[in-house]
Amino acid sequence: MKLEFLYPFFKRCDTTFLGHWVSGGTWEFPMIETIHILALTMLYGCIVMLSLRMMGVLMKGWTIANIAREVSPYLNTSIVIILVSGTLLYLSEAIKTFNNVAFWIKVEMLFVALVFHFTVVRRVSKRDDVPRGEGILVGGLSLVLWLGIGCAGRAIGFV
Amino acid sequence: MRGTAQIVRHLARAAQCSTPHKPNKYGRFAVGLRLAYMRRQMNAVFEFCQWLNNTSVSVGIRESILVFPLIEGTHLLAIGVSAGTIAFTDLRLLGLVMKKDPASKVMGALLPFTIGGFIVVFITGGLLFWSEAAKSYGNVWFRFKLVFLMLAGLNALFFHLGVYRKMKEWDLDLSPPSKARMAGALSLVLWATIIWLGRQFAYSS
Repeated sequence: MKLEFLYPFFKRCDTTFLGHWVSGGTWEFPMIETIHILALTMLYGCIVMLSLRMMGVLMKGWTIANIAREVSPYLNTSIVIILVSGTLLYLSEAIKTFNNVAFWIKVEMLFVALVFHFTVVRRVSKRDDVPRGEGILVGGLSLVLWLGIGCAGRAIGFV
Repeated sequence: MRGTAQIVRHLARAAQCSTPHKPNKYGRFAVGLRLAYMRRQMNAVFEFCQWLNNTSVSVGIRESILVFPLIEGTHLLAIGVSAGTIAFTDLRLLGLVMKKDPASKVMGALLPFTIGGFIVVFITGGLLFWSEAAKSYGNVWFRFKLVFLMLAGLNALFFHLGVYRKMKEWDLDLSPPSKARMAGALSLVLWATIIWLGRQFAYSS
């Protein structure tokens, strides 16, 4: 799953100013990681609400479209914050992550999750009548992907 | 330690001192005695943590390859679920989301998942503490985290005993009363701080 051809890109990332700024001091990395975690918490709240509604478990008094509309500003904002902070964290230790299996799993799952979210989930959440099976499939997949990204992210520190 | 009779005699003589700003030689002993008693109370907690640290469960989790990461990972995911849903409850209390829905409906829909998530958080957190009791005892971050957890609990308690009782009056208001909004804002700030303290604690040893 490691994309070997990206090695020169990783080496280049290791030399950036931003990377050195984050890894250089004592408070920059913890602060950015804390922002990453707080945005992740907000993201999980949104994903749990949306996915569990699609699966028909949570907040049955609202339509899926309603929940999606309420949740989307916070969802989109937290995705942006997570991506920006995650990029900064990555830049601070690019080469170290190149050899980390958990990192590759996380990034690839992240790519799939983002694509899945902005295509399938978007389309499903705009409809008013979603058959139960489809809702369970889409919601369940969304949950598994995003929770898996979280697990893989924590595993980066352990591998 | 000296005998009880001797201690009582010394304390009586300290009490007879007529110059409180300049204690007699027995007065200084009474102060030392009080300090020793306090130290003994604190030592009880410390010794309990040491004992916890030596139990087989603690050692097993601490030195495991898979179990500790699994418990910690579950802790983090459950935090995401519970703190994430509480964020939305607080946003409704602040009047920022789902304004057209009654606050009680939003809270009623989200609360089971918040509470369920918190139960998992506390169980996994308890196991994590058990596995590293000695290290946690002296850790500043952990102590502040406990303090802030209590503050968050108090905030929830005050809310439930206060404004929550009169929820029918402000259920459909676009902007809930100031006490409800304060409870929501405080809850957001407190839980964010708790998460930050937990992260700092995890990286400090």
